[in-house]
Amino acid sequence: MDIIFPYSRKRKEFGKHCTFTVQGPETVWEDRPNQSRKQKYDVIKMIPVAVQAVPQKSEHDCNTEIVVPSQRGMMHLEGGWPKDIDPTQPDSLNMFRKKVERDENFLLQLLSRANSSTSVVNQNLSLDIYQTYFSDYQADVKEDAPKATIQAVFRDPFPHQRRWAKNIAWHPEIKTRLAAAYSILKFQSTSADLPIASHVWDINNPNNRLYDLHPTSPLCSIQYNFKDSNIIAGGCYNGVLQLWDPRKGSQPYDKTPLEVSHHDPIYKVQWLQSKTGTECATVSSDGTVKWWDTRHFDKPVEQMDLLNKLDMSKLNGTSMDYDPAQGPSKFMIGTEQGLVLSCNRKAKTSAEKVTPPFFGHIGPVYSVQRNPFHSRFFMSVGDWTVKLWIDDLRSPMISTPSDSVYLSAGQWSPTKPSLLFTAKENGYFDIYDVITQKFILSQQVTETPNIGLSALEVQNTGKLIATGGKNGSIYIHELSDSLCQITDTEKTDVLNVLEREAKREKNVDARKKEQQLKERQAAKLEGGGGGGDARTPSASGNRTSTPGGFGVSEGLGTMGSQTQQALERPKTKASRKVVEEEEDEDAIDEIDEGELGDVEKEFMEKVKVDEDEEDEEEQAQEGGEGEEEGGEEGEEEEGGEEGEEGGEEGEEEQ
Amino acid sequence: MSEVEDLIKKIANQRGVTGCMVFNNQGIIIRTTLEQSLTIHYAALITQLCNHTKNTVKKLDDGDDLTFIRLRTTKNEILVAPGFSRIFSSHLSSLSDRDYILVVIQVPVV
Repeated sequence: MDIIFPYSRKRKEFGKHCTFTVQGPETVWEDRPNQSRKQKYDVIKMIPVAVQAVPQKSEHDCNTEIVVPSQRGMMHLEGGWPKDIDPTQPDSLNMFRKKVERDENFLLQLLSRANSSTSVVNQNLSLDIYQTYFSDYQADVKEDAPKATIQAVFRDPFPHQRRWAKNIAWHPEIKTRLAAAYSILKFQSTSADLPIASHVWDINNPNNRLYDLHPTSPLCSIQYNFKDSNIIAGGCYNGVLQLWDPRKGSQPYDKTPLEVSHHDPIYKVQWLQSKTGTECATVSSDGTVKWWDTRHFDKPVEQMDLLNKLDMSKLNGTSMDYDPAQGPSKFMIGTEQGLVLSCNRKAKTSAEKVTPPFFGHIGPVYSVQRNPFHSRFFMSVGDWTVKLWIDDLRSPMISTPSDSVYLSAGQWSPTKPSLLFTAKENGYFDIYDVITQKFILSQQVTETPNIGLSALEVQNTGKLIATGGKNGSIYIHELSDSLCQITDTEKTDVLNVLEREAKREKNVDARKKEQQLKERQAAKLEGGGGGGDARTPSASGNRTSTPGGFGVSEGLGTMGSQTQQALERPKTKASRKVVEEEEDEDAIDEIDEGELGDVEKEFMEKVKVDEDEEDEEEQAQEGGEGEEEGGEEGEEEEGGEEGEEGGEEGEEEQ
Repeated sequence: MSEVEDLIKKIANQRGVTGCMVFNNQGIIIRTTLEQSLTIHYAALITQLCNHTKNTVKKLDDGDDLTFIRLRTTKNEILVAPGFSRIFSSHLSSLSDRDYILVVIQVPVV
């Protein structure tokens, strides 16, 4: 919009004097507010504005350059010669020497020194001044407080990936060296850039690893060969077994072909005590155990499937123990299903190869090991407890109270038969004493409780223990003397304790069996009229006569015996289980393995039912006998009874 | 000359003695029955040890002096005779008796 004010004047009037007149203000142009536009806008009364009267800060971090210490040696060559003599010329040296020797002072001094030296030499020859008196006399063992101090920590050179130190193997000869396998066994947590090298460390040099081993896939288990400590066997995450010789380099010098290897990570690889020292066994969660000979690595020498004998289900192996004391072909396997198997490689039939499993754990069994001093007893570590077993019994003798966290690894002390070391998921390391049946030491190893321990390995001297954490660090503990030196009576003490526990467990079993027998007897006598068939009475009779019986049984009791039989047969086992559980809880309060005993009882029940019960008279007779005889012989008696029953059944049929 | 030789030989032939060496206080080898490189090694280390020990003893008590060092190790015993000033001794003409060091290595066999 233009504001124009035209000003005009006639030409003839130019030059005339301007006459100014006062003129009032005139509105030339105005722009009034547009009310309609105002409607479109709102008035904002208050606008919040943030103001901070604080000095501006910024964050920086800096790190000094890390000094990498390295070790160097220095060689001392000859020196000290006076300036005028050149050390490289032997003539001048000899001249110097001769000059020295000619000096009379030299001889005098030498004489005096020679005298004193000779007297000392003679002294040494006549008396051993450092002789230890009473060396075989054992000092009264002052039980100094059990202590485990951390001597060294080997940190994972690649800490960001949070690899687990999954398995540690001590060098059999060099006492300060160990090899560690790093991998992550958590499902689907391996990333593409996970470093797959495993390392060998030396305690004297905790900052730098000695050397690396480069497998094709991360190692889950590792072990040095007994005979030739230069050979290291490593089991990989992809199921392949590889061999290294550190002298030859960091690449494996041999590996098993992928087709015949395991399909799952190899959880434990163990060298066998054979003459050639070239045999090893591997166990994996794909349910097989394979034996390999390092000379022919193209296929396993032998393979065995892990089957649960009772229901023929496949079992996944998670730990293995090969104890040479038991024989070269016997070994123990711990499975993911919580069962422990004792296997014999040389058994003729596949049935004998794997014994019926030991029930007990509710989760994977991470470690199983026979006691190095008394090999009939073994321990297993899994879920929240450690359990001690004996070969003869299918349920554990001793079970530690459930811990608040999972236990991830365990091992017996190689020098003290009563100690058991365990590692836990909250980063604690515990020591359990079998004689007192208590944990005598519990120590935090990792920096925070959310970093668990994943591996534990005791050195064969019993003095050092290596524990591996889930952050890849390895902690070396040194035990106080009281924890690694055996006392005189310890071996027998442990044996006594374990035997006592075994006996107790056997007695418990025997007692339970007696009780069952008694009930069956009683039931038979009561419900004997009801079912003519030899099979029914125990089934139905049992239920109706028991005090705590449940509604189902009473309802069914009114039906005809035949239909009853038909309908109840499948339920028999289930109901009997429940009934017996109730009984057990009542009758056997003092024993805390009630549950486990039941599972095993169930197994025994199945066996008994299959065998068939027979004549009441015979039952009553045997029951009577069972009652009279002592509990100790109870088990044998039971076995005898069953044999008798079987025999009588045969007679009946005839 | 031959007396020196005889002396050294006599010491070295004692039962259990594996070697005998004479150095001067600078570490120069005068005489030895062991192999050369090993002797050099000993010379360097033992002269240092001698000096250090002597200083220690002197500083603790000025009138005291180091007379002998016996190093018993797991494998053998090292005997070092550094020489010392025997104030009352009559046969010393010079004040310093510290010019030479005699070292004997012995495996103590009783």
